[in-house]
Amino acid sequence: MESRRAARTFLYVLFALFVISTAFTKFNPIDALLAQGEFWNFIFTDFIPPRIQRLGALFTAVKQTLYMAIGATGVSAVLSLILGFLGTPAICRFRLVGALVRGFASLLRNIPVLVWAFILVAAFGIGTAVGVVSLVISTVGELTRYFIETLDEIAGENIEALEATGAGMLPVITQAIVPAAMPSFIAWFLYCLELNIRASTILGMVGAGGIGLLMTGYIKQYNYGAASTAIIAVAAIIIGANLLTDYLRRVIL
Amino acid sequence: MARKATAAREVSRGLSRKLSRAEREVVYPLRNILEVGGLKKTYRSARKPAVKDVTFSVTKGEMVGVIGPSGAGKSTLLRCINRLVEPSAGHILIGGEEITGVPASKVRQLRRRIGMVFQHYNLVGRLTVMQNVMHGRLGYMSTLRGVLGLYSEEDKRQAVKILEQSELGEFLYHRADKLSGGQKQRVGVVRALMQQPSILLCDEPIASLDPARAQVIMELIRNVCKEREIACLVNLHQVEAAAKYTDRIIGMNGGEVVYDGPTANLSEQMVERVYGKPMDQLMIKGI
Amino acid sequence: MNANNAAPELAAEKNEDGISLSLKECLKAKKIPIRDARHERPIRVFLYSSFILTVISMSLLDLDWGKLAGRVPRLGGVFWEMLHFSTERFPLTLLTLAETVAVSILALIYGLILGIAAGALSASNITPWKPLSVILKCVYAFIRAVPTPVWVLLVLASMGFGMASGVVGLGFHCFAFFGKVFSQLFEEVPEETIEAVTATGANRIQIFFNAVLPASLSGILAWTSLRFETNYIEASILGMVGAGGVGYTILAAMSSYKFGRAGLAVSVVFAFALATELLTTQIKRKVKM
Repeated sequence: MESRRAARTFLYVLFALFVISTAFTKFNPIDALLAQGEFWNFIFTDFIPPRIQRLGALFTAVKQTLYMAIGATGVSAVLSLILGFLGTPAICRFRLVGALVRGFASLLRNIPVLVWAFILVAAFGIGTAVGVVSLVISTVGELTRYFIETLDEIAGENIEALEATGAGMLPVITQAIVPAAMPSFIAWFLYCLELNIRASTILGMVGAGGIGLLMTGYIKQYNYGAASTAIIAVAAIIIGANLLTDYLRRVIL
Repeated sequence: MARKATAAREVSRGLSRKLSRAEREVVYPLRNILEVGGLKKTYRSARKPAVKDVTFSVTKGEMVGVIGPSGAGKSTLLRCINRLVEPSAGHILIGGEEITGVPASKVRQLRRRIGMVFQHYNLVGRLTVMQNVMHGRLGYMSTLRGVLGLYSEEDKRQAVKILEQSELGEFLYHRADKLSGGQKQRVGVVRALMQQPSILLCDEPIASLDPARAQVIMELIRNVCKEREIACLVNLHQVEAAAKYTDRIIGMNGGEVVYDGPTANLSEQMVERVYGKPMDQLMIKGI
Repeated sequence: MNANNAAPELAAEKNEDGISLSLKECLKAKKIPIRDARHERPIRVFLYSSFILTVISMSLLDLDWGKLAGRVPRLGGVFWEMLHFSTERFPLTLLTLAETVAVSILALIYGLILGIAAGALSASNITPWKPLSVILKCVYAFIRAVPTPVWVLLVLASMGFGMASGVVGLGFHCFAFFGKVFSQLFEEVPEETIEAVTATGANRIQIFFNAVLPASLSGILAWTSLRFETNYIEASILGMVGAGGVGYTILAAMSSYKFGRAGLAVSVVFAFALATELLTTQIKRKVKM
């Protein structure tokens, strides 16, 4: 019954939001539906068949996107691990430090990665470095949150049992908490790797290099056939990454 | 005599000042492994104290059952003894040394002598039985060796021996989360034994087990404690288990000790007083 | 000695100490292992290889760290200027934020409706036609694999600039997301629940509305609130590829060096994101219980 009431409230709220948003944006679903014809026509005539052009450039761009995503995720994982321990109240007893870490992480992740990129561009100028640094910034925000959630869940019982033996906090962390948390850490790491491959493509669209840059360039030149190849390459990378992370999750967990 | 009486009264009133060595010796003769005097604990969020004015002592190798309804303060009492919970007032002495009001490093040192067994076993599920058992030695190692998990071969040999004696010899390298509840609790007991404790605190050790397994665990705890002269304080919800395996019973209700005496003397009326309801209802609901 | 290792039934036999023979060997051994190396290996291999891959990636990216470090003071300057909030054109910022929120809500709702229908068609236990389920799942994978801004860019090229393109592009992605997670959600509904309703002689649509949907309500609620968080973040950057909203305001302010104005806009975006995150956490906690 409780869930039914929740569902009804949820529906009412959703409906109210729908009406307000529609009135505000004057979005007409019929128009959108009619435009679908044109959209698919555009896709099928201009994008298909994909034109393979400058394969070398495509390959380099794909490599650069992957480097950005992997490098940024790896660096973020190390930073987030440290922040995660500092931000978990059960492990780091300095409440102020914990609150600062959690606030900092929340600031990093709640500003969209593209906005970070624009702020960094203002200081560093356009380039791959900006892409990597902004990916690191938002990934540290995300991963720290998930690491803290994981540690919070694990810490209680394990810490109590090991502290009762007279062990200090550092051995408790390395001998019990880290091994217990490792599968979740890895799962979140893989999740962020997936997100970052997507994000690095988007960052490319605003000039941070990689496949995104190439694709936007083709679209701007109305070279849709080549753009289509780039889009398929992006989709292939992401599907590939998905399959790989699914496989790793199965093997490791 | 008079001095002892005064000092004891002060202690039971829960004086916050530290006892002098002389006073300590008068009040707490050394054969007592554990001394609790005027212990009081009020949680910050609660208005009523969880434990109030509890005073008792436990001698070497004595098996003491703490019984009482849930919420009587049994768990808090146990956790105050190794300071997993910070007592609000009172004194606790482990082998004549005060654990209340001393710095964290000293607490860690004293905790090595206090083994603890938990209701939910509190093992690290992904680690092997051996790794879990070796955790009992961490308190005796330097931080660096502890961080790296460099246990001495002597300790490991000891672990294998005790595991074998507790019929866990076949499971040394099994993951702890793959074991049955009874096996997990045996690992929990062995981990506590690895500390070479002089006191064993058991917090509802059989509450998550079926009757047959519960019996095995209680027998194991009783045997090792008698063999090694370990004083044991075991929280039990079930009166029958307490009556069967303990030498002495402390009955708690509402944070206070309402009975403290030999198990043999525990009458039905007493049990009813502890639990605040008639015996026949307890038999059905108690287990 | 070797005979003992080879014959497990011998190893289980106990001698007078009550210690089995294989363990006696173990006790005599110089070094007793405590871990289970076999089970730890995959994790170890994973950690080492990710470390190596990270190092390789970072070095192949060939970044000029010296130059980057030299410009950190400039980054400090930018932050400093951004913190001097300027309320110039603040009403416009709020208006575009409202647009962004409206776009993310509309995309969410259209995506939700289409996603539930698509989820029902592609959940393998209730699909009307098995191959359809497989085809739809591939479609979801492809749509989701292409980042949202790319879809928006494509829609823009055919529908023109404006919020409608944002709604369509974002909704498209949203639809694929919901289609995927809802089909999994519906597949998790226990067979008995479906059978119980089937036994009453209900048809396919009645089964869906009376058995499957009620059983997955809490899951739908949790995923929807989670997706709203994502939608909002996605919608707020759409302006940067030309679909309007608060992203465009930030972009315009940054590129004309009005850092104070951009700073205020970023703070407003952040505040709203934080609020949705807190709301989602609350909803997730409620639903779990």
